[in-house]
Amino acid sequence: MAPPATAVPADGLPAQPAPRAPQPATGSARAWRLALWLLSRSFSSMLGLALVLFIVTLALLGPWIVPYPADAEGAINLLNKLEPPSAAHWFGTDEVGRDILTRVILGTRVSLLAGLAITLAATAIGAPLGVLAGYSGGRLRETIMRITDMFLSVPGLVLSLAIVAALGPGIGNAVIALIIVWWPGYVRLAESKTLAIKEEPYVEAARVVGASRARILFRHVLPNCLSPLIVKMSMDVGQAILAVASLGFIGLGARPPEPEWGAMISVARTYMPDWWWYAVAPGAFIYVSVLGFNLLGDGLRDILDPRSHRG
Amino acid sequence: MSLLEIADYRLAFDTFDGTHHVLDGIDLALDAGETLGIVGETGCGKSVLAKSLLRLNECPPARVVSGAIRFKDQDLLTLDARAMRSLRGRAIAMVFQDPASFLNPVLGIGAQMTDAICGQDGAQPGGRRRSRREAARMAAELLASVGLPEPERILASYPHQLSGGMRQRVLIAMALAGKPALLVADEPTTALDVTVQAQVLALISDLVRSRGLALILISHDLGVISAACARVAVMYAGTIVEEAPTQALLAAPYHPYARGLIGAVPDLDRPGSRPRGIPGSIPSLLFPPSGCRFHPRCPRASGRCGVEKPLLRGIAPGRRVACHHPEGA
Amino acid sequence: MLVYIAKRVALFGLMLFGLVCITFIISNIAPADPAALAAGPDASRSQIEQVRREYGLDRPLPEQFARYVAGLARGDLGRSVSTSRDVTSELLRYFPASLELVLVAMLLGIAIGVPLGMISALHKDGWIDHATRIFAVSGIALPPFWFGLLLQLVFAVQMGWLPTSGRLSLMTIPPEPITGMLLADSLLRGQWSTFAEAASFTVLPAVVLSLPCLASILRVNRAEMVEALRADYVMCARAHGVAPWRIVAVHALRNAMLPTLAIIGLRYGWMMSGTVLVETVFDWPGIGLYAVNSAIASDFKPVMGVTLLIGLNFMIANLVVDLLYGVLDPRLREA
Repeated sequence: MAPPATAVPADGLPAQPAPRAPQPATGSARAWRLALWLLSRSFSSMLGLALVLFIVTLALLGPWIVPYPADAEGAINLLNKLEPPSAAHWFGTDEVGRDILTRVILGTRVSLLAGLAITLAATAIGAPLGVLAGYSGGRLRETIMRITDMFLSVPGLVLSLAIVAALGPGIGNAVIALIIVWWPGYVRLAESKTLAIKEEPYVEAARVVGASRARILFRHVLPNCLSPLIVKMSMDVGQAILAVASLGFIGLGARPPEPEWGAMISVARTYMPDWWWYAVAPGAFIYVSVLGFNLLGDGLRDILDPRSHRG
Repeated sequence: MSLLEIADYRLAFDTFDGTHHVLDGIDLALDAGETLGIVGETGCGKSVLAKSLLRLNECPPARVVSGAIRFKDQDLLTLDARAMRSLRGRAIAMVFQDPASFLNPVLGIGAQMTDAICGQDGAQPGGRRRSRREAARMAAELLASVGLPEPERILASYPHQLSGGMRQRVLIAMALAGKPALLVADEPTTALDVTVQAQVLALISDLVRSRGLALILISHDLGVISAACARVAVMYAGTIVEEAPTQALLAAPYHPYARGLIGAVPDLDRPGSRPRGIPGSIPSLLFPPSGCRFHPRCPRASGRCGVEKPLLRGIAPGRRVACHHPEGA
Repeated sequence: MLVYIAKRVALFGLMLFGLVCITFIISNIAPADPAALAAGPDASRSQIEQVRREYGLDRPLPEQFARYVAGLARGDLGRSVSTSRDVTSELLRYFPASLELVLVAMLLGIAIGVPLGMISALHKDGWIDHATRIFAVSGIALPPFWFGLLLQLVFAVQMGWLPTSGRLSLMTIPPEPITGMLLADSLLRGQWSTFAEAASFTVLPAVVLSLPCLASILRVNRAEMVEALRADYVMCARAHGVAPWRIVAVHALRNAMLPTLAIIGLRYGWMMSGTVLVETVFDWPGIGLYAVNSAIASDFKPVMGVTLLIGLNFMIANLVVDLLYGVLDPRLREA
């Protein structure tokens, strides 16, 4: 600290007010800056953010930026079928001569929408139920949690397979099946978080001063559940995209004319190994988008919810 | 020659908010067999100082800015990791605050004791490795020496099966395993029940006396320190503001902060008296006050105090103070 | 301890009941008429009605549920429509192949995941940590069916080092079954060349299946190690001069392994369901491939059978982990 420019007062004089020391910023502004700083410091989080932005941009602009818009409308060009990658077709062409890059970019929108729909619907169902179960306790909690446990007694992929097998194949049914599989996870998360928050002294204090139940739920419990929920949602969009593609690959999700990545790989598989490039691009896009959402979620978790790390 | 000598030791923590100047020019010396208490409020850096003696602060974020810590004329700050390890537990041993968290919950007491006993065997060049059986026998002896009955049973149990006082005795026994010359006790009684506190404190005093150990006792409680230490150093915001024989300090402190600290202790002999707090709060170590770090809270502060940092200087035989306007002078 | 075990077993029973409920519910949400499915595509209306009565499908739902549970208790999972074979015996035939794959993949995941997790915890925020983080997230993000295809392309087609798909070549006579797992059987019978061949067929699918498992073991182990290395008891061990390797491998790892164990149990179940994708890519004749083929053929009973079997495996794995926890965590031992 530099001494003030004024003359040093003689010893023994009454104390002068100390020169104001710069104080570290406090409150939410600091929290935001800290979050940004932590995020930008982590290479993997930034990579995740970049990949997510890339995928979202492709999904938004898809139809306007694809090199062969005609291929989106079912154009067939059998003369050019199964061409290897070239300057004209970066990822080659498929069995009816459509540009694979075009179809993969169009597939971005399908996958991203499906992933978002599954995650949002699962959160919308699961999170309120979880907060309710955690806050109310008693028989209501027992009921909600036992139903949740029931759905969690089988790993998700098999359960969704069984549900799609019952409902019939198709991307709509695949999304429905995955929502059914996904919501219990949010109940679990919201419930455990609510239980923990309920015991916090500040909630206790709010109860003591007579805050209403709704006020406690909205002012104290929900905001504190938010960060783990956001982290889980970010991860889950990626996992849901992968799950949709998995069902597509098996042949129970989107059906082939639809430009869905998993279904494309399922078709491409029949052209392996001679026309191997057919499968490369759709798989790479699945990988990139799931990787992006997971890295981002991982980075967000380190910032928002550092103490939970179960994967 | 002093056993331990800390000279102008400065330690900083680099964090997102900036650099926290946690220890700002510590000067201390300790002879063999001497007992020294370090007292101060939470966050004044006393625990960091204690950990510094064994280089236990995680670097980064911690960073040694300057200074030296000499143990028997060996600068601890320049030792390589292996040499430092061979000193830990053997030359300098440490007892920690909360015995519940400083014992490993999933390892048996026996395993942790033998680890502490055999710990340095590998680090000593040409050192003999003790057998597990030998170590177990030694562990039982150590437990008996800290007044724990049925050492065999305790060796076979896990930390959660013992009471707080027993755990602290186990930790003390572990600290004695390497026959150290200096024992550093960081708030050893804070986490214990009041009745147990006195027992543990008495045990530490006994051990120090019977084994001729030097002791550095860190506490926020002047009562604890006056019971166990001949000399005391008062810390404030990363600096030592006064150092004196304990009784002399309690009788007539020179530093206004030391006076405040003594005044804040409730006096049980005079029921009517009320303890007086020190106005203000501990300063941020990120932007510490200029000059004397205590001056914003000090009733005696002058303009000079905000500008010039007072150095620790001898003011009477055996007494040092870092103040421009010491009381009674 | 007894209370703890009793609680876990009770929870297991509850979950089992839930599992039975959910498979029953799914069977009943199918828009297709189960009687029509069971009677076959060419059945007349009266034949369908007859089947409906025969299977009790005209009965009220609670009664149907009771029949369903009774059937399950006898080990009766119904018949496949497309092969008209008994689902239970088909599952018994296919399950060892899947189990073998999952166990090998799990061993891979533990053997690589735990040490990598430790290493990246020790180099927290260093480049090794970042590299393993991206590797771990990739393990979860790589679509297994696509990654499997790529591995086939490189290691089987291009290099020719490993076989593409299946469990053994057509010319090899499999060992007389003992466990049904080729690796175990060929070892037990001392058929070394068969073992080597079976192992070469197992490598690629096991690697693909283990990747997500490896990744999450790595992540959990890293996080737990970071936590443990920061703990007070580690500082205490350091203060006593305990050797650094011993602090990491004993004092910290013991604490980190408990949560890691939990994730290993979870992952066992998830890998069982992962066989659906991996077995499809590698034509591995296990329950996953069986489920997919049946689902595509709208053959419902086998799909439900596989769902039940995988759910059961998942729950047993979790029960075993819970009980192991009780043994390994001294704080639970007396609870």
